[in-house]
Amino acid sequence: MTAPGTRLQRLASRICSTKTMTRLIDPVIADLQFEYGEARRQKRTWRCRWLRLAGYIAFWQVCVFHLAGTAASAPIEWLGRDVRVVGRVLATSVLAASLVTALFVLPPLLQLSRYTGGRLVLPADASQLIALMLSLIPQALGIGLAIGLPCGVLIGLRGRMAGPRACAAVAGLVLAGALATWFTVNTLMPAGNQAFRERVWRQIGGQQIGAGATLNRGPNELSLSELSARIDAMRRAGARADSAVLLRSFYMRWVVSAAPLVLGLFAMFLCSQVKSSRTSLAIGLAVIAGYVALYVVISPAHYWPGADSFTPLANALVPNVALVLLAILLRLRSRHRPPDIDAGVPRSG
Amino acid sequence: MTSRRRKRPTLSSKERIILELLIAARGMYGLELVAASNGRLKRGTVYVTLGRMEDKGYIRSQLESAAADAGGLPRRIYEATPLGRRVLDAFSELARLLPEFAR
Repeated sequence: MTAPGTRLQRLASRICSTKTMTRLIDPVIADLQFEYGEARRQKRTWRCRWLRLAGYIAFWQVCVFHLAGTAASAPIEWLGRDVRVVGRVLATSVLAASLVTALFVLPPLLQLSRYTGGRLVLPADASQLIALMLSLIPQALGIGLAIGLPCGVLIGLRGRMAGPRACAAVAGLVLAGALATWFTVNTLMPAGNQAFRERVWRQIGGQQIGAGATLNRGPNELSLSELSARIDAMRRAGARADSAVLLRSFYMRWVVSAAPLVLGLFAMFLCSQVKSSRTSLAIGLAVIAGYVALYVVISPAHYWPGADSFTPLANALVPNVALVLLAILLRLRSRHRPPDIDAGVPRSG
Repeated sequence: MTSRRRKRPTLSSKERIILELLIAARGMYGLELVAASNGRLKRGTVYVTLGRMEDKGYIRSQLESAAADAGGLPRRIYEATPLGRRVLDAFSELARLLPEFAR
């Protein structure tokens, strides 16, 4: 009969490093085997069983704690001296995204604080106010991430010569931001918008609205799949003009989701190409502002009727493709520059 | 500047308990520490803490000279290093002088 923990020890030796085995795994197994042996000699069967179970639990606890510790320290070790640059980008991105989100939450709340239909909707009690804010945050967060993340990258990398590992980390950050935006815009936002509308509707309508009454969902309250299904239904019914409006809304969701990635990569390559921090900041902010302004103008709200002359797909795709090409161009140009001697150090200007 | 900045010594509450026990007993096994701590140390976390303390240089370990039981792995015995003793003394003094920070 093999001693308890022998198989676990063999399994761990195939995965873990020698140091981990010596420091962590072997002592756990050795103590388990010693205690188990003592109990066995005293013929205490139940204690043997209990010690075996406790030892196995301890083994897995050690594995989890060790993995958690390694996972937390590995990125920091991998980044080395670039960790400060990436930390700065992360901090500025979170700050910028939070600020933009707050800016987009405030106007609807302020608008509600005025008299609506002769009745004061807000200020309501604290719980109502929190519920309204929570339902507004998803729609603001999507835009907050789309605009705030690239601004954060631009401000965080401004005047810094980021090494290749820092660039990889920032690219990972903007990709994660894009995925988070996609989830927010396509899952949280429709639910939040609908909750907000229904809450305000009930507050204004009061007793006149029955308990079971529901409010129909508009384009901004539909998920991507629901939006797609409605567009197909409209096309089948011959309402092509109405379906075009929904189609623009559909593509706009993708534009907002892709914005952190497209603008973030552009900001990163711009900072690696333009030496002066002020110039890179000015160019970057101008491009982000221009990008946002363009999509506001050609948004489904028809601010610019000329946008109808392009297909919704072209409206969504062309500015993004142009920006991606510009980012690639910047990247190629920065590769031809002489290598930086002190990666991660501040630059003048 | 190319040289790495030296890290300040830190001592968590669990590390402090371990150092106190090791200095009092002049060497113990992992499970002995758990048993002697009266529930303040847990079986699942003591080995990770011991490994971290070895990295910091507060303790050292060696395998016991002979396996206690045939077929079992040799146990690892831990003892405090002079640095570990000094760090414990320094933190104990700090706790005495600034009790509000030692809670």
